[in-house]
Amino acid sequence: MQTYSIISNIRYIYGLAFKARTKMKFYLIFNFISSLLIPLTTSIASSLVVNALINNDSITTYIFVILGFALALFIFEAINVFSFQKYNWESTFVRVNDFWVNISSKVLKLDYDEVEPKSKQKELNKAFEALDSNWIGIEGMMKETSVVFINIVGMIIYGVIVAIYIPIILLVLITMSIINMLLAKRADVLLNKNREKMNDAFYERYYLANEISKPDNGKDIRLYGLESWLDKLFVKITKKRIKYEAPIFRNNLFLKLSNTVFLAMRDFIAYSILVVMVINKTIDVSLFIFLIGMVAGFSGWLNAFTDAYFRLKMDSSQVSAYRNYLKKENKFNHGKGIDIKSLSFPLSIEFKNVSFSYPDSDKMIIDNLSFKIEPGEKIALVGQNGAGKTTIVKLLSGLYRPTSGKILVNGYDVNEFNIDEYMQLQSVLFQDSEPLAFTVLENVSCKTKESTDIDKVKEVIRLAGLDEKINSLPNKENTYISQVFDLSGIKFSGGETQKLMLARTLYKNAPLLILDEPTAALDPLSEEKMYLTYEKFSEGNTSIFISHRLATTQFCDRVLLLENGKIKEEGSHEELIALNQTYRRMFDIQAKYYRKDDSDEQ
Amino acid sequence: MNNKKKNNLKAIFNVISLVKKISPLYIVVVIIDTIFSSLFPFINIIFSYWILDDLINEASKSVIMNKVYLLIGLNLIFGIIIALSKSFIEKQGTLIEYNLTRTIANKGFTLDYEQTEDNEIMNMIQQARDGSNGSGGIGSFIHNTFNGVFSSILQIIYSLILLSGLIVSITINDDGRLINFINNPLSASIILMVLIISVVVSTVLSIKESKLGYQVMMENIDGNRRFGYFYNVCVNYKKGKEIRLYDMHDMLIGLMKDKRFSIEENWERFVNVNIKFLIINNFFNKVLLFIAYLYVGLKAIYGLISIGSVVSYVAAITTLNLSVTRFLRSFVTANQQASYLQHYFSYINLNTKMQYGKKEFNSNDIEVEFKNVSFAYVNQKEKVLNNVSFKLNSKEKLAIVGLNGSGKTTLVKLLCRLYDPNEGSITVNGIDIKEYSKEALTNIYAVVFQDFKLFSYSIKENVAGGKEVDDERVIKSLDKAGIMDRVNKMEKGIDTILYQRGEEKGVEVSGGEAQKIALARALYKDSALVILDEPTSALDPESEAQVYEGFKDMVQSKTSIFISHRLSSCKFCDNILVLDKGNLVEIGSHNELMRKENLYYKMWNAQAKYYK
Repeated sequence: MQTYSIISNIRYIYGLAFKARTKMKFYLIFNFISSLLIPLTTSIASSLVVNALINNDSITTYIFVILGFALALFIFEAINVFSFQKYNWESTFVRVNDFWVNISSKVLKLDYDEVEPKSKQKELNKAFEALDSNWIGIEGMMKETSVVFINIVGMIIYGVIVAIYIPIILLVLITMSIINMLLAKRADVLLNKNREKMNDAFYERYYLANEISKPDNGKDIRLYGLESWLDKLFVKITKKRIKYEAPIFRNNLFLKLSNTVFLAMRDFIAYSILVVMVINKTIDVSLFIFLIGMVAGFSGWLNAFTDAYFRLKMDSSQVSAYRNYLKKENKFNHGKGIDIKSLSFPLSIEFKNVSFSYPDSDKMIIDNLSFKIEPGEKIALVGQNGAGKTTIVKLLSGLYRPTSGKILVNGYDVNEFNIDEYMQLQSVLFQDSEPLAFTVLENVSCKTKESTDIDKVKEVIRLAGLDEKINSLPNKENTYISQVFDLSGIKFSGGETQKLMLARTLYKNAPLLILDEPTAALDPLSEEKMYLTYEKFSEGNTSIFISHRLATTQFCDRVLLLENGKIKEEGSHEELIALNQTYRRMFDIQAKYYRKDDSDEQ
Repeated sequence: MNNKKKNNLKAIFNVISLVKKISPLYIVVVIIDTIFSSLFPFINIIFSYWILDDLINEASKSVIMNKVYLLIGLNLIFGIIIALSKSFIEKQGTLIEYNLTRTIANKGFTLDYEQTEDNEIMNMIQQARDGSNGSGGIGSFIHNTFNGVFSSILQIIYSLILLSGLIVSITINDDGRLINFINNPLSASIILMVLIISVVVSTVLSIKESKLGYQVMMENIDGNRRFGYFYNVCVNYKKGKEIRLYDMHDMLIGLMKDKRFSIEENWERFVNVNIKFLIINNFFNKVLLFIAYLYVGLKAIYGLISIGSVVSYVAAITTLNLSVTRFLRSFVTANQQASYLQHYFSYINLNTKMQYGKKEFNSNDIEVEFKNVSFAYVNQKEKVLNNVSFKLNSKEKLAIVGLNGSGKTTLVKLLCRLYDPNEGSITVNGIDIKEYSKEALTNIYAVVFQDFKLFSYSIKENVAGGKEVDDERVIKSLDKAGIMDRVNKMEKGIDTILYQRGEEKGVEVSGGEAQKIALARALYKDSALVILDEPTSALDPESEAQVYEGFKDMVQSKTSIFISHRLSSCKFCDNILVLDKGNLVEIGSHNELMRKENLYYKMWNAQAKYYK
């Protein structure tokens, strides 16, 4: 994990920002110059005014001075306002349209094993922090960088001016700066120490607030009377957060108080010296005014610089997390691979001594697994919860790679394919599939509107048994699912959702069909229809069917029974029944209730 | 006073009393901060005037330095007081904000279930949260209001006191028109006029701007919510499987850019308008500055006032201008912020429609009866249940079956009084469920819905439903649900945290395992009526059988309702209710219904034929 320096991050951000929005450069420059000119103009003008009055200049001269001053100040302030507002808008725009889209695109294209494991999710959350608001991370850096530089230059200009006339005060100012920075640094270190804990409390509160307001959770909350429990948790988190914040506030207060004391010391020294200089006629009164302004102004620049610098530092660490995420590399093959058009269909599949454990754990989910699927075969994969069925699907579909062993498709190692092309070979239906909050059309085709074949969509909706429902809707296939993007959007029931997901699978029409518990939420008649559809669609294709409903195995050519990551039994339904072991036992347990027994009438 | 203003004023008072409840000292400290902060800049204005004059008039070093020490001393004291009060205000800000979030959450608990599904109310909740956050939080609202209104009043007063020196007329021996004009106190009205023009322009512009800003912010809330959706899609690893396998990247990125862009255009328009206003404002301020320097300068040139006072008088005029502007503007801002806060109060004061009775429930016997119940969801014409009547006797086991969308889950939701029927009535032990208290209702049912929810806290807290945790009883329930073996293998046993919420190591459980934990929760409750909606859909055959067997024991002494597509579970039920498109089409035991050879018979055979 590389930590990029602040300068490197500044160059990175502005490099991208200026390329996307060239006007930003000019806004930045104008803001910079005008921010320096405004206080200078004010200081110079005050002393010029007093000077003109002391010297008894003519009224015309005086009017000239104040007119010039008012005009100059107006112009500089107008430029400043304009450039500042424009610059801020541009930085928000570029954060959202470029930086955000970049990382979204990146995460969507990463290999799955870089996304699912808990540790990887943490990395992603950290990377997204940089985009969270207008005040931190990338946009924060864009704001604070210009502030930091303006204040540094301001300090230098004022410091030089002070040095010319009263070098000893410069010494005082520099000493103050150093002590100030040290104290601020100490506060920063303390903040970082507590940040993890504070973040945790923050996330927990966010989690609670979110969960409590989700309508789906409302049923259980009410029916189990969970309200007081959740409320108590809330109070606990509040106390936790306040506890962690306390030292930080104390520290900030200490910082402010020491600052106030320093200002008093500075004024004491500055006034003592300057008053004497006026009395001794070393400088005149107007210069006195000017220099007092410079001394006070220096402290202003210094304080603003310190604040901005530490904010910049924090923003920079968030940007580093962002950049590190973008640098993640895919380990799967994204380059040239075997030409999928040259493959003969239907496909054959082979698992050769495949073992697998998830990246964050040691437990072997699949242990030295070997099996073959002939071209065009329909395989049923059965076994207890946790036996490894879904894991096999994840491995076969290319979401993960085996820890050891090989997976072969038509004899070729899966790694030899370009992974994106490889995924085109499969239509997969997962157990926990949920539609996206877009239109029915987009959910089925998964493509942009231009690339969607509408007739094909209508056909697969019909095959999935969803046509009656869709035709009953006013917007038909253009109906939005859920109301996130369209208030007239609807919600599908569990069964309707499963049919929708089936339609998506059918639309893709790939040579390898994998269905994981596709009928769990369907009523018996819909379930039967689905089996028939499945039978029809698996003709000419190789397919794998996972289900707890052992009835489905009868559609399949062969059954693989998995236990603890190994194949326990293998064969056709009839063969395994005859084998009279685990499969037979499972089948009988389910069948028991369906078969006629003594309580039934003859 | 029109309604809106009245409401806003009410909102402001409500806010103040709300904050007083959470943090009583807060308002006091804000007042202290206001007084000292508003006075602070005047220290320098006054002293620089005196010190400058002393320098010009060549006073002695000790005289000058005495004033310097006083200046430094006052700055120090004020600085310390202000730092202390601001620190206190910031600290309490967190407390106040968290409390507000808590009230929003608690309100959510009291809403009718139907209301939580209402999209308008969902928007209200979002607005309430943003509204109490968007203006910097309610704490900062109070701070800003006090600062805006009261500190500007104080500063107006201080400025006027300071400026009184300008309207003193001195005896002069000159007949020049200009000098006599300047000497006349009424000439100060020129400044007043220019100041009034400047203030009026500024106020009119800021009113226009805040209206526009409010509009844009409302649109932004909507846009942010949509954008939040895209964020969730990218970050949610569960969706990640399908995004890759179905190559959805291009579609998502395209939609992302498309849906966001329009928000940015609105915002840009607002920025441009804002810039125009600020520059116009600035122009008038500079005109005032020029006139101020001219007027005050002439007075000095003619010796009517000291040179040292020139800069101070101009500073006082500028401060007066700013204070009056700020005073007026803070009304505008307060109004605007109050509108935001209105969202919060509208939500908190939202009325619920469901009325609860007072009857308690303490029995172990339950009878349920539906009498001519009909129901359609809000905003939908189609009836989901149509004239359904049936009776469930004590300790009976009832199965509810039917095709997808036939109304099974809705029937259960009505029974649990998540909704009220449009027609007909539902009684428990002869009493209409509307007459039971809220607490009585939670005592009656133990429900496991198809889309049950477990929270990312410890298993035992989840199973105990947040009540007092009886460890032994938790273990017994988990055991009956068939998941205790799995829990025993976990490092922390029943103290293990489910899912991942933060730093603590949580455990991911599969769908089937979660279902068993939800069952354990229902068992722990030990209610007289147990309702299970698809309790075994994610379980393998052996686990499924285990649950059925276990349940036969568990519900032996209870009344129970099963919804299931697995018709095999119907066999051990006393009665089966068959729904079709909201109508009760058949009711009877398994054997009776098989003889009728109707819908049930069809569904049964569709499943059973594979098990021959």
